[in-house]
Amino acid sequence: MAQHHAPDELLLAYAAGELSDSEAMLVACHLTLCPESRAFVALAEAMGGALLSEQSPNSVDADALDRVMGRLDSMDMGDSRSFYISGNTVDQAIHDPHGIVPSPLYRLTGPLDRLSWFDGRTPGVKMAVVPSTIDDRFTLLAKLQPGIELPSHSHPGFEMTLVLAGGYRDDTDKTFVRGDMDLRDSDRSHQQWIDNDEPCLWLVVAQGPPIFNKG
Amino acid sequence: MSDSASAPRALLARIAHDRDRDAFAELFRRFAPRIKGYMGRSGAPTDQADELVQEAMLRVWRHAASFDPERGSVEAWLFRIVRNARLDQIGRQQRHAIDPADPALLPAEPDAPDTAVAGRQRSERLRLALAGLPAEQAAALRSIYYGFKTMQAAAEEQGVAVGTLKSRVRLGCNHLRSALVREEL
Repeated sequence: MAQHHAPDELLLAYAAGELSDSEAMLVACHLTLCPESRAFVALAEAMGGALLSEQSPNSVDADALDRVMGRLDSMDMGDSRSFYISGNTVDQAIHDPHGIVPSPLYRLTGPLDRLSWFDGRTPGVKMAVVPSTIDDRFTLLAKLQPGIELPSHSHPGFEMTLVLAGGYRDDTDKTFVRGDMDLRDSDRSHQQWIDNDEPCLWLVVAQGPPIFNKG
Repeated sequence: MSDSASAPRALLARIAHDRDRDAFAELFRRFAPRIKGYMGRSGAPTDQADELVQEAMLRVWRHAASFDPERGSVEAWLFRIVRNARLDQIGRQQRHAIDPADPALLPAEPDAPDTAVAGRQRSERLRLALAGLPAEQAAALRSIYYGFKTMQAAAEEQGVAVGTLKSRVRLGCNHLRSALVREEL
């Protein structure tokens, strides 16, 4: 069970539809693994509903109701055209049969062993780029073998890590397991140890690649 | 809130079961101006806001049967529709949502406090708790919703540091949580 939840402001921004594409994807993966955060998102949506109903009304086009009413029939005949072209339809029912990779990620990657994994800078670390997120974030998966010590490094801007498998400990002695989120929004250096028996799998969204400190 | 025939829940039920156009028109008159107000506060230009109002109301007609009163209020359901329509409007390729049938989904404990109270009661309590928040916390919370902008921009607008804005948001959320939990005991 996840111990390190996404912070409130991040979940509110997700509920409000305000996150960038890759951040929203990572948060949706966290929600899959964390019932507590899911409950908070439901609260945040209820709060959105309360804000919606407290709005002072803004007059709509005089003919807006007529235009919408005029389309209800064709809607019932199976016309589901939008006023605008909505994005690619996504098959929501794509699942990882092993129940490891949450669907919001699996929809983009498919089976992880089909991604092109490359060696990280640290021996025992493999990485793969997550395809198809449409913002400029640096979105990747990292697989880290047990016993690895990730040398001190920092990131340009914020970094979000979601643990999908295994676990690790950081230099403040906090431990992270499946479902946990580890957030840094400064460029403070940090270190991690994979002190678990199984390989650790991370989903990372950052503003740029890690910067390893010398020495 | 009464369960009279003009309550939003009753209107939605009439749309879902009877394809009742009068009920739809009534719901439109009640919510379309508020959806537009919300979009306006979020900084959307008028033509985009008008378009979004129409799109959202068409989705209400199409998906009325999917409203589940156990899951929350009509307003919360409508909020999700408006949000998703907005994400489509700004050209998101996909909305990243959880999939309830995902084998990776970790289910909630059966007696988790947040699911203990029926949606409608919760939303009444939430409205009260929201109204009782200190002004600066309420403003911090609202700034996230009426954003389409970063925390940084929202903080500058309120003349505070990002860290201050975040802690106001968290304090506000804790108030709302504890208001809900306390009353559930």
